[in-house]
Amino acid sequence: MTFAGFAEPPRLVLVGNPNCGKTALFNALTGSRQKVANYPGVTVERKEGQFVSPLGHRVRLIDLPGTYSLRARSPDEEVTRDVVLGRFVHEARPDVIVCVADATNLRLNLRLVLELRKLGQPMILALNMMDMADKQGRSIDAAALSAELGMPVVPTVAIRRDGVAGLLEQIDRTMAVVGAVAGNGGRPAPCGWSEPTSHDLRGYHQNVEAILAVAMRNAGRPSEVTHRIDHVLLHPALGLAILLSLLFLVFQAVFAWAEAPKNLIDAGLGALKDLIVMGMAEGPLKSLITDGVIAGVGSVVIFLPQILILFFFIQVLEDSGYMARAAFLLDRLMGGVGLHGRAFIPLLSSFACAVPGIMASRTIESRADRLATIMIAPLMTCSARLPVYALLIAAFVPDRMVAGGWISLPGLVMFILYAAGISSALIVAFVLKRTVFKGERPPLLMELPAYRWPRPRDVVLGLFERARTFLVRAGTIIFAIGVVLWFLASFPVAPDGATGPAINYSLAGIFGHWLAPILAPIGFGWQITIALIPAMAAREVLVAALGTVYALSETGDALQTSLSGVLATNWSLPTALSLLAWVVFAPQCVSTLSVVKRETNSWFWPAVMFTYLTILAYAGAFVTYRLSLFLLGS
Amino acid sequence: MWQSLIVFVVVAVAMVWTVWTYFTPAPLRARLRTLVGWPRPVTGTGCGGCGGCQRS
Repeated sequence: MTFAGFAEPPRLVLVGNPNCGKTALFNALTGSRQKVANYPGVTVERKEGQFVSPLGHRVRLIDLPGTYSLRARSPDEEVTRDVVLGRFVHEARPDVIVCVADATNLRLNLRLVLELRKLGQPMILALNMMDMADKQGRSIDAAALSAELGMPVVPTVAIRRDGVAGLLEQIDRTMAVVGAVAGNGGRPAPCGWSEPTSHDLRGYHQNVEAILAVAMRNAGRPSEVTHRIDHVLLHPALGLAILLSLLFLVFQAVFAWAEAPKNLIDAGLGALKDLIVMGMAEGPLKSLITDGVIAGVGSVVIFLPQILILFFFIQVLEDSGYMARAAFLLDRLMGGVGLHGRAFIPLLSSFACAVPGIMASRTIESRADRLATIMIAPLMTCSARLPVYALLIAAFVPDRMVAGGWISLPGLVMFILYAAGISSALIVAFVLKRTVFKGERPPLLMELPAYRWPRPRDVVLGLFERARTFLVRAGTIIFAIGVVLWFLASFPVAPDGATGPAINYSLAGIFGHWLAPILAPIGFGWQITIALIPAMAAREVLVAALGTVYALSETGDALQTSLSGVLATNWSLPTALSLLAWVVFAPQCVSTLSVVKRETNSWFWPAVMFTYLTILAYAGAFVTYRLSLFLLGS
Repeated sequence: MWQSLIVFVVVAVAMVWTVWTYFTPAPLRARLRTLVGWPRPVTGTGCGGCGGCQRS
């Protein structure tokens, strides 16, 4: 059912300053699970959902990136401006603007409200984060504010869904009025928009002060706790030491806590394999299931606990408000290599996956700075690399404590690998900013959110989404490529009287032997060569591919050993270190190249990225291999 | 024999899916989808697939 006066469901847009809770409100209204976090710049694209109002009307809701003004300065802000002003082809102006304002920072947020009000569009103001405002002793008279602004004002706490029912009722009322106006000869034409002059801005400021004088009963006090915590966490030396210690502890936990669930999954996969080996007749299907699916997909799924533990910490740090502080702490370091301070959030997002990281670079205003950030984003250690690191560490790094029993050696190596990715990104940025992307570095201006306890529900939902994404990848891309690789590694079958493993006679084996000389100088055998090719689709496929290749290469007892055991037997330590170095710099997956093409609107930058990363990976692996051969012997 | 048949189907589906998802250029994929009457895919970024980014 649609509102009277509307042929189609009306379109509402959520507009507001960064980090005021738009996406939390979008999720509360639509039942969606878009990512929310306690720092600005999480939403960089237009997201659309639907809901049914209390009166049974269908409504389309669009969530937009945060902005302080319609004077867009970065690509994400341009999306907001263009949707609000109806500048997209096939997309008229929205029917109603739902402006979301942070009640704890009303002075700043009201400027955008006033700018939007000038457009003459129907508006509703959702006064969000009222719980935080109450805690700070702020008393806002919503009725007085509504009278001053000339629009309905609804207090909300979006993350707890408080006030959402009231907002829905208000949407019904507003849409009924808008529909009635539309039915009586059409809506009045909205006002045009022009960039506010300095005179306009002074006018907004005076208006805001006048409105607050009437609507703000008590201005309250900013949180003392936040101030005190910041005094420690933002200290140039102490703060940095705390940040590094936190990251170090996270990687220790990734190894220490994951052991039991990993063993459980391993035992489950082993039992499944035994069941199939014993209960199924010999044939290609049996080989596909054991050597292709279980050895391939199973080798990757086993790392789910480690990925979830890592993201548990990231989610907690994000929700608490600490990540925005980390951006400030690292601003000096990033500034030293010429990176814009805003590059921190895209680079942080790249630890999950380079794709959202590259998209998050839209918040950077300068094209040169944005391109520099995009070019180094794949050097951040994405979650797809974690299974590769964990596999090689399990195979080659002894599981023992060092530094007097305080530090786990595998955790330390993992920390070093992550640090290597970050360091190489900073070095590349340093070179790029002094050669290709020269330019002034603007200072970092970012609102620091208040600290808050992460909500267990949000953390659980975030981890659930992460696990779902990982398992979907395991069930689709990793499964499909595993099956294809199994086929290529199994056919044609070995001729009668053949002495070596059957894979030597297969298409993959022949191809691997043919390409092996190219990668021999960096210590890679033909098995690694075969596995690297499908890993272009997704990095964790490397683990699955190694699982399949070695399952088909070995016979007898070796089949019963875990993949890490097989690698420890077949590879030298220099080869393993060389592969680790390769993966740190490795040319990124196809999805990353595609998103770079989309964000830069050119194939030139993906080509540059692929070339420089391939050279870097080969050089890094070569130096690592030769140096370790020299130091350790073969 | 039945094992070979199942393997043939699984491998064929996996190959087609991989080629379609990873090796077919997005514009060609969108055109092929339109030809067989499937809805346009909703893209991950920005525009929601309306093509509105080509400003008037």
